[in-house]
Amino acid sequence: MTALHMADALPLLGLWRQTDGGAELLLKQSLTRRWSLERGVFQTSKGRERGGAARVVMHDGRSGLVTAAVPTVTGLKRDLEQALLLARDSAPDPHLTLPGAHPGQDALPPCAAVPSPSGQLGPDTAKDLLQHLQRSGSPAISILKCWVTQGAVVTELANTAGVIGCHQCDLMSLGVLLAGNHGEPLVHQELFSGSAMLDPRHFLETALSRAAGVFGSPAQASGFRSVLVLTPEAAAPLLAAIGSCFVPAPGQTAAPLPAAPGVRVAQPGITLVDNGLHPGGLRNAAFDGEGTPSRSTILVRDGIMKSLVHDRRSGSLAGTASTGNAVRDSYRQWPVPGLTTLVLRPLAGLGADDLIGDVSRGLYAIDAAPPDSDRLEAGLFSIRLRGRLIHDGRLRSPADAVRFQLPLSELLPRLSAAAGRPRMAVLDGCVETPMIRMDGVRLEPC
Amino acid sequence: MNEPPRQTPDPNLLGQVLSRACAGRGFDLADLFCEHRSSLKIELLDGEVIRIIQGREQGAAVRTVGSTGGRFEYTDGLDQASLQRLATGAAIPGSGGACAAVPRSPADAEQEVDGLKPLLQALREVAGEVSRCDPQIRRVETSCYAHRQLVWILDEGGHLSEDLRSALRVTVRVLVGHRWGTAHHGGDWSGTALERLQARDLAGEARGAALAAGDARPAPTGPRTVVLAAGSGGILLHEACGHLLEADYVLPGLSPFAGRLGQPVASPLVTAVDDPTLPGLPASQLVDDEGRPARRKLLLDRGVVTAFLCGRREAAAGGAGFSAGNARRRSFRYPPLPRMSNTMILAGDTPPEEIIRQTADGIYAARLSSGQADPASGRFRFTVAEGALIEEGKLTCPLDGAVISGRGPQALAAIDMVGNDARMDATAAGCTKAGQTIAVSVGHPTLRIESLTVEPLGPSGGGGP
Repeated sequence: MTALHMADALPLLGLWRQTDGGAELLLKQSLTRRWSLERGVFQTSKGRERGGAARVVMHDGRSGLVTAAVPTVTGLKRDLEQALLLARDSAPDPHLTLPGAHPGQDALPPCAAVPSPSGQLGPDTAKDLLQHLQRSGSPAISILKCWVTQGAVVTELANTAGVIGCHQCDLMSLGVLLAGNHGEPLVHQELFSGSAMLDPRHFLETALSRAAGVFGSPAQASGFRSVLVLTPEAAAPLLAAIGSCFVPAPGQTAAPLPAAPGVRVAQPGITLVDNGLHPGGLRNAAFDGEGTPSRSTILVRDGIMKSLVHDRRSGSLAGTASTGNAVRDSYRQWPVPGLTTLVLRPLAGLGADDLIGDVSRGLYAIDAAPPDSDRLEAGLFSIRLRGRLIHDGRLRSPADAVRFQLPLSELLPRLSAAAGRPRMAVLDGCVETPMIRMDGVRLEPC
Repeated sequence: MNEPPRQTPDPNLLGQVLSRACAGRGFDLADLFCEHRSSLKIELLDGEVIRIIQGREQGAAVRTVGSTGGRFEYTDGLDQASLQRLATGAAIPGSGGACAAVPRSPADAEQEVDGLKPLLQALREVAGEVSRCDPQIRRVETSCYAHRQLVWILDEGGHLSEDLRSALRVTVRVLVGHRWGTAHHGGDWSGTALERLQARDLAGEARGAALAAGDARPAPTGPRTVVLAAGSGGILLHEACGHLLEADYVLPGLSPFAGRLGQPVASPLVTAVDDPTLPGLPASQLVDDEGRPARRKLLLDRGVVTAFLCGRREAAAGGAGFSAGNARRRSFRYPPLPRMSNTMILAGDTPPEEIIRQTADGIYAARLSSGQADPASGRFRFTVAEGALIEEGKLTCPLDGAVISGRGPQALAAIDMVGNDARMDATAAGCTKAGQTIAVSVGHPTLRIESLTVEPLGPSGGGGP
């Protein structure tokens, strides 16, 4: 069956204009491939998805959403009718509206007929790449498993107020699972914007360097107050938690951050940006899940809070406009406010070595487990780290199972510096961060 | 609630797709998995419906597994063209235009609306009960998620299996003062779960949890005796014991229970089973996701390992103690893995009040929420969402959240009292493994664990610098 394109479904929205309220159609197609090599067994997987969503918002804000796989024009027409039935059962919401048309976007830009990842890898190339990776271990560090994924997602969105557009996002990632003689295995994974950007040699160097940092006989850690320096990979979950403070909870005007624009929330020099147009970001798109144009929003500039992120509804509740942050990773989801790519900018004139050079006692964290989700909900950021102890400005013995925890609201004020080459990590959205330093924190064994 | 439209796919077409997809490939096992799923998600705020999402998906996946390689491919759609693409794009000879799709008809929408009305009514009743029961309640959030899944599985031997499964989960959160209280109700989406839903009880449970939290004290720190209320701590059993018995962890030696078949790994008071045949639960099924008949499996018999949870692949590799029937997948988009369904520790003979009475100093966990577990090390951490202190054999004040942690094998060995009040909890949230979240149910009687590490949950006692 040939995939449905928005151009074929547009007449449905034309018909809808004559009825009560507005309607929105979303079409998503994706193609993903994955190759993996583990203990000599080569696995391939491939998936194709095609889905559509019909959302209706009546004039008084009553709404309904119907989603279906393999959309057809007839099916979408039925889904719009069904969404209207659902809307009649819901309550009015004066803050929920459909977006208006954007000037110059009244025609669909060209889009790939089917998602087609740029610079495609074939099975033979993928197998060669993975075999090369697997052979690159050493007696001290073995590579248990490696994988490469490649995919493309095409999103088309239109509503009764005007066609918003069409966007293709290419994804590629390379990952390895490394093991040493001591400690738990380490996962290293990197995201690339296309196979042209793939640099297996640099990828391996980084992976092996991280592994060499965490493997080895760990020192017995005891509780101490110190400086914490985190590599970009270990810093990413912490930055994601900080970023969540700038996202209003559903139905609320305020975000968890107890501050208003213009108030100092971080140390001078700290600048935090959410950028829906950031190259290589998983949520990089010309428009968000409601059709609002994507943009860059400065959350913190030089330590001063500037803005929260909003979708249309949370913006309306807060008396402001959407910042283009309606997140809708799947056609099956209702759009909600969320981060796209959170970017922490390195401080000018500071190198990565400067973060460690003056530390008399601390931890250089190379790897982090996911934060404890229940504690995060209760307002406490709690995470297990491993890396190397720092003594007198130099990296010393490995340290494993070190717990760092701090109230969520205190994370940003404790962030004292960011330096070095930023790296991208995929969490809930993407985080691009350089190495960071937290001062005066307490570390405990766990 | 009318059943969703059911149409058995043409077995000849499925057979041709599978044989084409496998042609020229060496494999030990292969299957074709087809699925049709309809779902409803409803959210209410203070009794008003704020969001309704209705979904419908259908798709198929083909899988081959061999000793030197494997292939997995899926596609949205059950129409002939989609299935043909799974068969490596080659034309399927002799299919004669037969179609395995579940067709949509104008009546479908009406059927789905029929399913919506009773759910809406039940949720409104719950919200109304909550509002009526206490004027101090400031906010009431009510939500439910329900789905029905129709699957067809064809294996390389030509055996075609079919199953219809469903799940329903209702959640109520109430805000009293600055404290939230939560209660859940769950089961299958057959109508009986809705009939069993007692709006007043659920409202009272959520309100009670919020009020109890208002008087709560921070949890103590350090090793403590922990008493798990019947059915409340199934997540601990699930994470700290069940995952360690999954054969994909056991066979490569990643579980502490690897090589322990026939050996004691838990207290002799512990007998545990996994039983997907129990009726009315979200994880119940007639066949697993490889088409093998679902059956009750004795995992631990008085502390001794008697069997592991397996799919066909692990059963073929494992020998005695490794039999298939436990393969599950999130949807056609994922390959099957050995998973639990309805897992429980069977009842002992001690009355629960006697267990409390014999505990001088400890904590009582009335409800565990989410947590983390590492099957390789057996290490786990769980949040006690509702609990109380036990002092001198009595429940005293409620706890302001707590985290309990330990290692699975040690915790199982440290169970020193087992109640006679076994209870299944059908409201457990999904279990996630390798990115696949599926419905599970867990159950047990009141259990006493001699010692686990206890810490406060939130920032108040949580260890800022």
